[in-house]
Amino acid sequence: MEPVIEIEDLWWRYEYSKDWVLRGIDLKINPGEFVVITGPNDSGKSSLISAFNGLIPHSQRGVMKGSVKVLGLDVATSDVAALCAFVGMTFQDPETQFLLSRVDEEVAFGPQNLGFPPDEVRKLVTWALDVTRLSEMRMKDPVELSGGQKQRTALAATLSMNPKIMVLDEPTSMLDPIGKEEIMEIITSMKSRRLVETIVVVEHHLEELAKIADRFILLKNGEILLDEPTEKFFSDPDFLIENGVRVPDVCAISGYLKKRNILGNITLTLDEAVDALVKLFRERKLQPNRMDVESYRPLAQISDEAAIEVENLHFVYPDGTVALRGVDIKIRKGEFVALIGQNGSGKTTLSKLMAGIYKPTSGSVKVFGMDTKVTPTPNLIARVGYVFQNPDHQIFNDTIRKELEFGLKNLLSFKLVKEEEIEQRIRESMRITGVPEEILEEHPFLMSKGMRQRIAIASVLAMRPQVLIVDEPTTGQDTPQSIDVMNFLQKLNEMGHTIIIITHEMWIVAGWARRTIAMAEGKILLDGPTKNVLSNAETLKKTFVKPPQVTLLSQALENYGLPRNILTVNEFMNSISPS
Amino acid sequence: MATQQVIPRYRTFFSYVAATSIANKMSPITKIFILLFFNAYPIIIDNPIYNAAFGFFNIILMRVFKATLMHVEKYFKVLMTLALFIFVSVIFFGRSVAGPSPTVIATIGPVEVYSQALGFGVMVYVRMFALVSAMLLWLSITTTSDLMSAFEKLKISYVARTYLTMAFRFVGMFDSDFNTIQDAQKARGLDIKSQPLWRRPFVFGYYLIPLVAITIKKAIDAGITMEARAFKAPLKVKFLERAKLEETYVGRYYWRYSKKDTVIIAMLVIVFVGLIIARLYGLLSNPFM
Repeated sequence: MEPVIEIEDLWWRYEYSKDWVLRGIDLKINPGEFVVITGPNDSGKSSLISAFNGLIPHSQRGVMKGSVKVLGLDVATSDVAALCAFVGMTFQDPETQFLLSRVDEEVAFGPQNLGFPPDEVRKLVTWALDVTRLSEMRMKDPVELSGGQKQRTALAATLSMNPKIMVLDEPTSMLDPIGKEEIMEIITSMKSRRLVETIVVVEHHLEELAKIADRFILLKNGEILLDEPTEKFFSDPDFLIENGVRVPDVCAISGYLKKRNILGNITLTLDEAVDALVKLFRERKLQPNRMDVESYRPLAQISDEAAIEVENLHFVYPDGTVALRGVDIKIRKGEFVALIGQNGSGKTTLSKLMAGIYKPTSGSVKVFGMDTKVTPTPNLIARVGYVFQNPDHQIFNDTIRKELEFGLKNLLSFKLVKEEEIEQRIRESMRITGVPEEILEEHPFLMSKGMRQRIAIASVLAMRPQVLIVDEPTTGQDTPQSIDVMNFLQKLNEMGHTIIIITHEMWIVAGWARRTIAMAEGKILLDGPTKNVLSNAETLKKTFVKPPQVTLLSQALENYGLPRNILTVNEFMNSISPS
Repeated sequence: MATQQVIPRYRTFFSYVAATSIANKMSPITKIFILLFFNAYPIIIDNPIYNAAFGFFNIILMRVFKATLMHVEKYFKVLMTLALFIFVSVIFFGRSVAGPSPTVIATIGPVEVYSQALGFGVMVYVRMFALVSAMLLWLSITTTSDLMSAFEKLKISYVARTYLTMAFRFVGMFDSDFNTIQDAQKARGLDIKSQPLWRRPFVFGYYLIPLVAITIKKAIDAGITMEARAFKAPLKVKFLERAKLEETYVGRYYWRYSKKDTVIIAMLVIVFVGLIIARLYGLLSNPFM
């Protein structure tokens, strides 16, 4: 069988860098294969797939060595436009992919460029919208859609070009849980209905892909570290974790059991894992350990004093959109809280109200007893810091030092900080966030995204807020970086800061948050200890959030003595032992 | 983002227009004529009273066309800041526009304030108001498909019309990024509303730098997406013989034209000619100069 993609000894480096991003890649992808490429950030995943449709070397400036052939066409000598007729590609952020203001126009753009006559374009648009279940949205502005619908629009816009090879670059990384599920359903249907011949997905979230992909490739530092069929790929979870892969819970558990010779195969889906473990319990090869899994959770000092009190809070945006409908919460000093729920549930609005960035339409928000309606913003931000999802929304100074000084100087003008304290506070926030001193005079835009995020956090921390609200702290970060950020927030929590995170990542919630608030349609549906909230699968359904896979597994094994509220793989492994 | 509204509406370049709006029945070419003539009228007119009336007429039209007005308010606030600058300029540097025999109406230290200079300031400001309101009206009722299909009928090349449409599309995107940046800076103690009026233009830098950086990033991403969707195919791929794009999907299915459009265009032209004649007879001059 002739491979559809054939890469030989591919080397690539960007013009502005001395380092090779791809180092001697050899890869063959056969027709009909579903391949997942994973690996930590900066491992060269996006660069590699950019070579599939000629964006590398034609649209990106750099040096390329080796050869890439796609459907027999040599990428180095073929136009991107010619390759696009065969290779469809969607990118990570759906919003930056929207060129026009109606869904059908957006989907028509590709086939129109390929020269299909209007009637044929219409048929392709109708088909692609049907496949992606967007037919009713055809007149809407793509920007107005939910996260999942946006990414589906981007998929439809590529699918309508009728490509033989579909390449998806982190299609779910910016989506809420329901959005992720929607995209996975479409990808599954693309495979099962053979709508495209070959599918290549770059992704960090492997849970759903493990069920459907034929083969996984692990890329690190520009080299292929592992290239195996799905089951074999997950057979050594420790190796994958060491190399920055977040292994799906059921694969990790079965991998560990296989290593101990308790289980024969790696399980790729929840159902497979339940069947395999039930069998082990029945055959008495496994037994539950009676233990308090709560004791594995880190504890911070929580006082009775309220940091934030929200009473009967309603908020309506100027365009009439109702975002919050009667919210009541009390957050105590020292808590570590996660706000969860699908996009549009009101999480971000609520957190901006807590920080005093928005003022309530009715009801009240009190920050350490100060009513945000009447308290000037500087007095509030000295107590509550807010870190935005995208650090680039707040960075504007030409040196990191000026960036860190900015908030403090604003406080200085309101006499909320003394001038002689500024330097000390900058040093302190740098130390805590791990921003090295030697880059203090560098331009922040020259730093990596991870470092820019730290600079953004440091600039807020310098104001010494007692409460820190972080919106999506792990977006765009790979697994090791995410763990790093969360450990850092935990350290702040242990130092006495109250931490509130807004996140779609349930493993982050499970691993770090002590209390979880689940929201839907501007209301709070669940509020309590994370273990209780995440194990309440029924109510969570209404917030379109799915508990972690390991929680669902432990609940399925409840009859065999496992607690219902296990949240992490470590907890699970500690709760069972061989008979 | 919060809960979606249920009123059916279409996205325009600047905001939204209700699905039931008569603007959606108007031909795309009529909207092009509105763009051209509504922006030409204030330039022909010097009389601030007429221009002010025209500006308010545009706002009323926005209501008639059921366009969302919430963004509009913000731009008029920016105009207030502009007013301050225009009037400071004509007070302190008004001699050059005050004509050969200026009338001094006040003296501020060594500075003489001329009535003609103030009249000039009023004319410039109100003209700006009329122009901004005309542009906002057009941006509020025009969609990407309107512009694409109108340009197609005007035989503007596919590449040029796509780039032009996308340039306008970015106007609305600026607005949402600007709001987020404003919130992000507020979280570090910078609230433009709490700043004195004179300081506000200087504070804008703190918003503009991230806005420009994000816009450049978005433009690069959009460029890559366009390439990935074969935008250069009609120019480069010789084997795609069908790629002439004489008629596109948008041109076929979004084009509309009726007799009412002929009437509107005729009225726009008649008013334009009338204004030119009125100007030649000095009927549109500024009475305050």
